[in-house]
Formats: sequence, structure tokens, C-alpha cells
Amino acid sequence: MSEYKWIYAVGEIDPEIVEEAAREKADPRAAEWPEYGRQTRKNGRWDSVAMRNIRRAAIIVLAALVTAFGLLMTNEKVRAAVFSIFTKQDKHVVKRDEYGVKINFGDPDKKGSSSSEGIDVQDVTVGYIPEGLAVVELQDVDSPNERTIRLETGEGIKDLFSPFVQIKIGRSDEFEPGFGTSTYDKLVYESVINGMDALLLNVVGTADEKEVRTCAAVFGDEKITVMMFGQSISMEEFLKIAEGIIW
Amino acid sequence: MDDSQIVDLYLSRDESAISRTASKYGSRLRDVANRILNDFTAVEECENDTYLTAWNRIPPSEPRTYLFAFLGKIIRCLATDEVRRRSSSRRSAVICELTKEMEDCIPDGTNSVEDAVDARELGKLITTFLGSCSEDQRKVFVRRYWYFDTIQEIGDLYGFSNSKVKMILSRLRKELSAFLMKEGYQV
Repeated sequence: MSEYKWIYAVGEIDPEIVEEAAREKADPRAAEWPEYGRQTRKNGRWDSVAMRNIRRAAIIVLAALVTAFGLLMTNEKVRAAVFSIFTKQDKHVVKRDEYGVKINFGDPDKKGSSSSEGIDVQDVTVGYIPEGLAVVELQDVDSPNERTIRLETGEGIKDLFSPFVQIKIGRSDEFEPGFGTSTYDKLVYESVINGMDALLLNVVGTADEKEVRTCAAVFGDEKITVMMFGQSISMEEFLKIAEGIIW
Repeated sequence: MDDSQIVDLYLSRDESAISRTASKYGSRLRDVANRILNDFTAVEECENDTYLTAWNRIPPSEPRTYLFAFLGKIIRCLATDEVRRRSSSRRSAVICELTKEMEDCIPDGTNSVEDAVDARELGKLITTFLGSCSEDQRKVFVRRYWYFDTIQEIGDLYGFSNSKVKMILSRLRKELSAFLMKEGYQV
């Protein structure tokens, strides 16, 4: 008990005081948009036209990046970059700019060195599919060692609010460094999925007064690397899908 | 489903209470535990243990109006117990930082059984102290030392500059230290 006594002591304070300070009872918009919360609240301009436009612009930038990520996934160099995450000497580099941060995975001068000869991406299974979503397999004929699986409602991806999860599965030894994406660095965190190192992204914003959720995950081992993107799906469900991917 | 309905599920021994709780508060509980442990696997274990503990404690407890605080208290204790079991090199940087901040108010004790009681008494004193503070001060203190938020996150949340948050916390720690001494607690 003696060690970290203050944690136990603070843990004993009245629960009503704890609930009072819960994020949901503060301004939720400030929590969802931490980069802008301080300035805008201080100046009382949360609902100004300019701030709404900035929020919308941020959403558009995010959506564009999600799309760009999907396109980048088709590039062999991109996949190789992701693999570099799992080589311990290559840490991701975070650079902050006006709208967020840029994350570069891996060292551009290094390449993955492991071998996954004999591993068939078709052996990888997606064991958990949330209710309401169905599997659509998108086969890339040019790259037999990769698969793209999309879980979607069947109504297509119409806008930012259409739920879907896209899963890219590839052989780790074909990935090269050079991949980059932008988001808020405080929302990117290291984690573990099925015992493998993983990077997770969880962004919650608003557009047209509605909540927009985006999740991403990159994880794998020396054989297989998995990259996932989810839109309008809870992080809990997203992680369940990730944990259900086995090989 | 509101908290009271979830508590009713616990009281009627309906196992869906746990999934409802996980669905509503799982991510927030994991966030609190992860601030202490910085280890997702251990956080998941703590989360599961939290639900089991809640299952065993409701009844007799009926936290209808403070379910998150109730669960949060459990997971904070479990995560802190876990971090104490680890070697010092694996301790979360956030916890080390916060411990350093708080050592002037609440120094670590002497590893005795009495410390458990002492922590409860201290908790009551801190509650009394916070009751005398302004709402902003109270929230900043709780966000920092209960939720383990960073200075930047607190500033973002309440629209304060980082220096203002630091100033509030610094003054609160000094006032808390003086308050505890006045109440006969040896700081």
C-alpha cells in the first residue's frame, strides 16, 4: 500500500466529484477536438462560422487521408514501410504541423529482412464479423501475396457515415519503408493485438452535427502484416475484428 | 441504457450487466488503466477483473448515480497493484511524474497495513478539501490525479493555457498540503 499511496488516496475521493469531472460533463467538443479546444473556448468562438469551417476542413482532410491510405496500400513500398514498424530499431517519427501530425513509419534506408516464404495470405482468416456487416473480398490479381477484405453493409460507402472496415493482408517480407499518414498524434498509440505489436488510431470528430469515427490498426509478425481501416464503427468492435484475424 | 438500469441488471444477477458495462464504459476504463500501466495486455486483464469485482460488489453496493466512478476506483486499484508488482524500469512515466508532484502532499508511507486505512482517511480529507475549492479547481485536480490526464489534455478540455493548469495544480498541492497538516496529517 505504501507505494503510490497518493493514487489509492485520490481513488477514495467522493465519486460525485469524479463524475463531475468526467469528460462527458465538460464540453465534449473540446475533448473530441483537442487541437482547437483551448483557443476556441478561450475566445468564446466555438460556434463561429470560421471554426465550423475549420472543423469541416479537418474532417475533409482526414477523409482524404483515409482514401489516400487505401490507395497507398496497393503500393509495394507502402507495405514494406509498414513492416518496418515491427523491426524494433525503426521507430515511427511524429512531426506536428498546423492540422495535426505526420507519422513516418520506419527508416527509408532500411528494408524488411525477414522471410515469409511459404506463407499463403489465403490461409489468413477473419474470424469475427460484426452484425450488419458482410464480407466482400477484393482480389488484387497483380499481387498474389496480398488480399483485401472489406466488411460493409451492402449499401456501399456513400459518405463519412457509412460503416465499413477494410483489411489489407500481406506477406511481411514484401513491405518496404516509406509510408506516411497524418492524424492527431495523441490519438495514435502503441498496443498489442494477439500478442503482436500494433499501432492503433482512434479519431472521433463531427461533421454536419453528427459524430464521425475512424479507426486504424497496423499489426503483424515476421510472416504476415495486417493493415485495417474502419469508419463509423466503434473501437471495441474494430479491435474484436482485429483480434479475430488469425494465421 | 442508463447507469441505474445497468445496476438493476447486476442486482438481478443478469450476466448481460457485464457486457452492457463493457459497452458503455470499457474504453474509458481501459484508458484510465492504460495511463497507469502503459501495457494493453495488462489493461485488458485489469478490465476483466474490474467487471468481476463489480459483479461481486453489486450488491451490496448500488452505484446508480456514480457507476463509472465506482468502476474507475476498482480499475485504478487493480492497475496500481499491478504496477507495484513490476520492476521500477517498467513503471509508467506518467505515474512517476505524478508521484513526484504529489510527494510533497502525500509522501509514500511505511508499507504497513495501516496505510490502507490511512488512504481511505486521506481520501475523505481530500474530498473535504476539494469541496472548499472552486468547480474549475476541483475538476482540474481530479482530471490530473484521478484520470491521469496530461497538462495539455486538461488545458484542451477546459480551455485553459498550460501555464494556467500548472498554476492551478501547484496552488492546489500547496493548499492541500497545508490543509492536511492542519487536520493533523504528517506531510
